[in-house]
Amino acid sequence: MLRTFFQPNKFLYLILLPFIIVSCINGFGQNRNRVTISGKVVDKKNNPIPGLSIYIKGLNKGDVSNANGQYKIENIISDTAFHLTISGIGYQTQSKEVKPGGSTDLTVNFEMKKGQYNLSEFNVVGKSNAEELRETGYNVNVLETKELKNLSTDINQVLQTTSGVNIRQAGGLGSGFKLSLNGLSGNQVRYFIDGIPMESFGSSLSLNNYPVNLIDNIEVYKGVVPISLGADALGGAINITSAYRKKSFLDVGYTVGSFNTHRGSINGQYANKEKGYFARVTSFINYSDNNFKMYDVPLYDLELGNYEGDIDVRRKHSEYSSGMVKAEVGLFDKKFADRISLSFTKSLNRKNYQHPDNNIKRVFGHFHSRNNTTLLSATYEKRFGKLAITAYALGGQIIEEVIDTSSYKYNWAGESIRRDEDDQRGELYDRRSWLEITDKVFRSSAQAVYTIDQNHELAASYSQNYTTRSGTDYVDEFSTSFQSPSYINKTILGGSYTYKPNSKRWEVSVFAKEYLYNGNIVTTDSQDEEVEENIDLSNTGYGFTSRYFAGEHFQFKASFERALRLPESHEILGDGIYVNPNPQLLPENSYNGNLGLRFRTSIAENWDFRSDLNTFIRSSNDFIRFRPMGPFGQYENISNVRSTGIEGGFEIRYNSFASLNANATYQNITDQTKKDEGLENVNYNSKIPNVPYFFANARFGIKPFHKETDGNLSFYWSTRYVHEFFLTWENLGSAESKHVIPSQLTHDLEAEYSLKDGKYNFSLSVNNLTNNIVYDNFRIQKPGRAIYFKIRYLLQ
Amino acid sequence: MFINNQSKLRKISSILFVAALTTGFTACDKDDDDDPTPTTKSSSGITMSFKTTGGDESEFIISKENIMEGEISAEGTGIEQTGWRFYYPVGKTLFASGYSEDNQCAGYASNANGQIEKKGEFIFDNALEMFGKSDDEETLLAMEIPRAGFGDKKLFFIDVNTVQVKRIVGTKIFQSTSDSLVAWPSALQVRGDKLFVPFHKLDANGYFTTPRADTAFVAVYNYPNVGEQPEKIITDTRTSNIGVNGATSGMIEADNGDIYSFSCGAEMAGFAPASTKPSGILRINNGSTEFDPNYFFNVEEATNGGKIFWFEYLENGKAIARILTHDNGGAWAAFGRDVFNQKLVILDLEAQTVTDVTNVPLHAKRYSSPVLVEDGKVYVSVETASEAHVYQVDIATATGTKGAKINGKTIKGFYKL
Repeated sequence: MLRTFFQPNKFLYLILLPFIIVSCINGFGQNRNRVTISGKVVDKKNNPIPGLSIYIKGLNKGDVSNANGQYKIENIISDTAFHLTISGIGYQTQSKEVKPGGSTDLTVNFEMKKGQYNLSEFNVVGKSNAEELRETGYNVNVLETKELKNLSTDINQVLQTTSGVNIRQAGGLGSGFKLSLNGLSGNQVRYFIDGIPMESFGSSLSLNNYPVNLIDNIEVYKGVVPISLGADALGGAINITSAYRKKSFLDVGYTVGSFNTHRGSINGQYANKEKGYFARVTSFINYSDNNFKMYDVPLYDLELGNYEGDIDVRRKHSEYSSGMVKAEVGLFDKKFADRISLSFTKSLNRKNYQHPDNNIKRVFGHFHSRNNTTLLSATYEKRFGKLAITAYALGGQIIEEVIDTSSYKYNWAGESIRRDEDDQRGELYDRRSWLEITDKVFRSSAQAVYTIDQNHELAASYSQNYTTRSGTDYVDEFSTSFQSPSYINKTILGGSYTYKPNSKRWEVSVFAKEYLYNGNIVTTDSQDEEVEENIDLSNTGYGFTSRYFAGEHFQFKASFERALRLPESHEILGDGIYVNPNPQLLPENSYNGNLGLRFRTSIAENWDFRSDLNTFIRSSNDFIRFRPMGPFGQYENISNVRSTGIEGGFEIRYNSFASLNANATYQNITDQTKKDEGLENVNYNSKIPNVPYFFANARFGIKPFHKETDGNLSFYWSTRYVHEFFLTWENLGSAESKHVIPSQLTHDLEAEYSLKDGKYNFSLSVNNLTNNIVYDNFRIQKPGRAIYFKIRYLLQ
Repeated sequence: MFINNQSKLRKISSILFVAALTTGFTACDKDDDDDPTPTTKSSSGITMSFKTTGGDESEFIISKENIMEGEISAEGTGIEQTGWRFYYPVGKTLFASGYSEDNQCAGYASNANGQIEKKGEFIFDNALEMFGKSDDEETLLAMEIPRAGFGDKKLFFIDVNTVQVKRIVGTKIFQSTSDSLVAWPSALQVRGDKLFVPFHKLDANGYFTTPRADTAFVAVYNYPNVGEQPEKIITDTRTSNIGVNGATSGMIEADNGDIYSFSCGAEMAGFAPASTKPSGILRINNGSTEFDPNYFFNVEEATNGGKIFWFEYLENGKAIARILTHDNGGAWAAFGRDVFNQKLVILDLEAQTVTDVTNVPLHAKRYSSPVLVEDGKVYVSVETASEAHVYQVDIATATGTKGAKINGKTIKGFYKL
């Protein structure tokens, strides 16, 4: 097993060899000085000008002038003179030649003259990272969490408000959810934290209970994913990032609210710039009773199962608790590394279930699950002149337990009876069980980006993900799930080339990805003989991204990728029990295309307007589905689906007084499978059932009394709409009998008060203001009106 | 049975909502209090349990007057079901019972306006996988069959008119902890004051292996006072375990009160190991509780014969059956759509003859609900590799007539409500 995993990969050496050689020439053995250049940018009347880009061509370094017109560019290594350029909308671009002398820091000030916007000086460097990313050729939404940290929100709640993303939850805090991106969902979307895949990290680290206070940005790549995120992402990728800062700070928050909800988060760092080291702690703790009211739930007699009518009742046994601590230590600005760190993560949760996520007829009083995750990881970054290298390695153990050991049977009225001795049933399964599944993972990756010159850039990446899964049932002696050891190792190699002309008006990037996949499972057959299944496959993906700036206000984008999802272990290897192996199983694949338009303008220096519009196509094939054969069966590539759609949004700001943003998504997702097991598919070209196809969000904010320092008050109103959709095929069945998930319209109100320039913050939120009965899934209700109060202390 | 209780991962997926690998079995129907009771347009004509193609293969209860011409579909019509269902008619009530997380059973009948509507519902813990009825058609019998381990199987007594569960009796039917064997019932046949429950002996591990395939077993209970233990278990070594996984007709009752059982034993029908005994039919005469030693209809070796995969009683001592023309398709292949080797025949149970039904092609059929016999005709749904049609069979002449095209996957059963 290990032998196969550690086998050297020839491809790997071929790709990385040139980079290794170049880095040796560029990197080591030369003694270089690092200097800082800073200064102030003012207009003719000596007023500071914020928001202008100051950058050094060729070194890819820059900064943006702050509210006081100040900028600072650090860590400049150069023996020769270079040009320091400043540019921005509405001012004439300037360029000054700078000669660094030894190790002295330099001060360079600028006095700006108003003028026409000069495209030829346009440069991405110096913008905020988020804006830089929004301007790339990817169909990407970058959600900045800065404005949201005073409110008690999780990453999922923020993701929910962006175009193209739809999240369906089965309850309150910590409940199961399904996220779909332009119609592709579940494991067709991959999650990353600072570029490290979060696959199988366990339910306590999932984004439905991860507070936004611990991160900075959420990047949502739709349909086309950069090679730096090494994974088989069929529909797209979500990368949560924490900006790397070289200073100390502390962000502590605590929320208390409806349903006995208590949540806390700590995000703190001590950084010593002189000595170049830092220590960071991020942590969260969550608890909620989730005892919101359920309306019209069916009551059945406990002994015989007869229907007795519907009742309204507050949930019980829905408590959720989780906690996470991540400790990281590292060094920065060293000769051998720009940044190197080691981190340790421990997270736990316990989730009580009142009912299965897809059925309210069955009620639990004891059924619960637990997760225990331990991760150890190391990261490394270094820039050697034109070559930038990043790498990580991560090892972990994730234990998930599902406990169904109660001999009692419950109903919504809170009544219970004890089952007979001879009845082996649990609350969910037909035999009581306590199943513990342990995943051991090892992931590593190395990325290299080589900037040949200002026009050409090459990048390569290597990512590897090894997972082995085993299981034990402590209670059910007849359960052999996952007792057969199995492992899967995925390796993804990527290469890309990017070109932009001197004018930087447009940019094109092409890329290719090679997916290598091997795995093994050992099971015993009905004759008690050992049977081994092996697979060893490779597949290729490819694509391009492009962008074009047409004038001052418009940007066009186009991107394409042939993306894949590699089969899960049990899909291709079987499970040794009811699922037969299918070594011929192909990966799910999709041809993803995006066309986008961005527009931005400022009016009278007070109004700022931005908007973007995207159309997309996801032409997916070979979806893997289970095909039963009696009680057994196997996974096969059964269906084809096409999703086409349009999504758009806009944002209007009036100084820092008011803002409005809104977006809407329409997706037409149809069944493109011509035949169903040989028979003509009568639902060919029909809308896929049980998937929402139109949803919209809006958020209005106002800061009525804007003060520089003390006492800032803000109000926000958010609203969300999901249009009705049907459980089964829209055109089949009589109208009265159809099972529908009704249209949803919910409103949230928030009020925030900040003191001492954001040091002390208080907020009050009312979610689902109108107390609507909300369903993301058929008959599975979510919480009604809820009130939360948060205090947050921020020291930076 | 079919898709239920797979690896724990699939169960965890459905409950933890993390992986979207399985098609979603869903929550309950709309409730009668909140919404108008769903109905189909009219109950005149034939009611059918219809399954469409693609994705979740949703099911609908539809009605149509003419099923011999044109096409049958659920376009804009039909009572929508929430998942894969068993369908079992008792008199003029049709029961639709769910599977996996769709743990509800509902009864449908014609109302005063002649429209089909839901009369009532109840829930159960494990899927009800075997069905039967009382002689007077006032009681539906249904049984929960947990597949692994030595637990009770629960027999439900349901009042057909009110669709309410009256009583539940737990019984093991048969088990041997030393041999690791449990019973898998293949019929619930009531006659007078007895309940006959034929069964397979399966390995208690739940993998459906049949280590004792070469004998027919029937547990005989008192009825209606069904006890926790059967009165006795009768055996016959002329043929294999009675019945086939998923079929409710392991036993049928003729007009004269004789009970007939069929035995298959084929690998394609899920027997592992396959039986060495010939496939055929045994009889328990009216008034007796033992197999008739002078009756064995060896269907496998009869002219036009083969291994019986399913049968149902028609009238005048005749039964309709599906016969596997060979057993080389592989394990459980009769439940798939890769091998089309089932042929439709009429059996004369007294004369012991097999007559092929003309005009009906070889097909594959994994599950049928009990048949409707009307004016000497019976209706079946026949699916070949590329087509699905209704066929009407004339019982006396064993001739088949092709009827309407099915715009969907299959029709599980035809009923008159």
